[in-house]
Amino acid sequence: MILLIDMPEVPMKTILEKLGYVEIQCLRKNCHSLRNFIDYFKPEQSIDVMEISGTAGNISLLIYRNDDSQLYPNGQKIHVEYQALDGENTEITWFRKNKYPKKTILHENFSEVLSRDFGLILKCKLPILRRFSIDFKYTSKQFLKKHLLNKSPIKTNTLIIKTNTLITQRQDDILSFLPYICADTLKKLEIEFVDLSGTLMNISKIVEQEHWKRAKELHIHGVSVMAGIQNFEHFSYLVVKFDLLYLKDVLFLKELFFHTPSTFKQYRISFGKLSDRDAFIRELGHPITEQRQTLIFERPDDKENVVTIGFFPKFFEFKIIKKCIAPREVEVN
Amino acid sequence: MSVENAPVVDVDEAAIPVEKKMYYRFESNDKKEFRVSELAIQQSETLNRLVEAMGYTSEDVENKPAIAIENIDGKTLKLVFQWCEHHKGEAIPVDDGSVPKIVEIPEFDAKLMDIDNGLLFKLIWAADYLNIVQLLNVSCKKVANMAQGKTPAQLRRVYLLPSDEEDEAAKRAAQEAQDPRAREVEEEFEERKRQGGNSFF
Repeated sequence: MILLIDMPEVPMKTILEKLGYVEIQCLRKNCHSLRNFIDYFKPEQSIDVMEISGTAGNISLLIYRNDDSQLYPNGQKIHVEYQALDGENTEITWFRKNKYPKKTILHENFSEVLSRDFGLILKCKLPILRRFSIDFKYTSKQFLKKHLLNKSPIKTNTLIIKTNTLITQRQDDILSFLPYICADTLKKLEIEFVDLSGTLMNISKIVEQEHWKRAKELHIHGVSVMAGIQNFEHFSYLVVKFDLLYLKDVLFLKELFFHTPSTFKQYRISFGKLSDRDAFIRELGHPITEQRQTLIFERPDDKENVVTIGFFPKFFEFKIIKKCIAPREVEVN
Repeated sequence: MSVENAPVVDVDEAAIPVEKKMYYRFESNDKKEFRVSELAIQQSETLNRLVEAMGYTSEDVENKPAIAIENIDGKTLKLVFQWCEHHKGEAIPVDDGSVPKIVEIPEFDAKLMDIDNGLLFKLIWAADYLNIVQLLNVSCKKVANMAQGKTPAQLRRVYLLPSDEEDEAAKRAAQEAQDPRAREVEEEFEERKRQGGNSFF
């Protein structure tokens, strides 16, 4: 009689490729042969989203496929919560579709347990993630380093970092984490600083990173940044805030939108204050309150598209749109 | 087309089809003979290459002995050829990354594979041996589906897996022949085993 463990290599790999993360881990638990096979061949998992978030005593781990949001076993979404319990013990809750089994691990810190589990997941063969989101708001990311160290960087299209670390440490905090993320695959970088709105952040070192240079989309929320406007020109989509915005920077962006070869470009530049408000008004008119009042400009050598600049009370909005959908005739050149 | 109506027939059960298409004769290891159309054979890379190499004429397929498939029994081979006849002419998936890995099991295949696990594993083994890519895909999908939502203990029962202890002897024998990488991996396994894999299982 042929058994599963007697299967030749090709069928065994084919079967494993069709199993979800949970089933593969359950098979691993059964016998040496399967464990050897699984760990040696590392069947590719279809997980493409990973999210880690939490508070001081509680961290949540979610792994799933973007188009499968059903909790296990109805789908393949895994949601596990690690909670500190009586000091050095850990309570783990696995949120399944129909039940929430709990487990207590004695004499082990909850962040260590998560760290180990996360390390095991990263040892699987994973596709390039669509999104890797890590929320350091109320916890430390140090626990991850142990299992990220000496591993291939995580390949993801979108990296979302949420943090509220001290202002003096903020840049270093992000810089220390970026090496664990592969720059080559990164398309979108989203950084959110929570509970610290209105503060100013120096990002002079971050803009030198390969991650910054490779990403096409950038969102920075919660702080004003300090960096030259030229550091942002390669982004196709940008959401950022400067504490003090200079007219020369706005004019630089205007020229950039006039001449950029790509027509997929949209920036929202918020500001705390303008360097010379009167000069802005002379150049661009008074701030507007409605989208339809945006300024529209011809693009040199481009008959199909126009540039729109919205000078709103708290932000500028730069867009390239089809001339045929522009709200009115082009007025300014 | 239902499983019963599939054109695979034991040679002594029905008349030879009076079509101009060529039907090859194959014999299982328990001496069951099957006639399979040329087009159906194309689903199997192994058999297709074999018959091409033989260069049989219509007369040859009738007069020469049936082609022996020595390591597949008649019960399994019948399922294989029924599948091939049903799916004859269909494109054979190419594993170049362009084909989605999510496999749907068609109704016919689901009915064909409504069999006990022993026979299902034989079917997979045969699909691999005969290199029938899509049959391997759907049969492996069926086996994978059996694991959905099961605990390690339930999986052991479903797949008749040995326990670690039962597997120990085989493991020891295998270790003798292991290369350094395998040994390194083995050490990792033992470490993980001590850790018990993911803590939430």
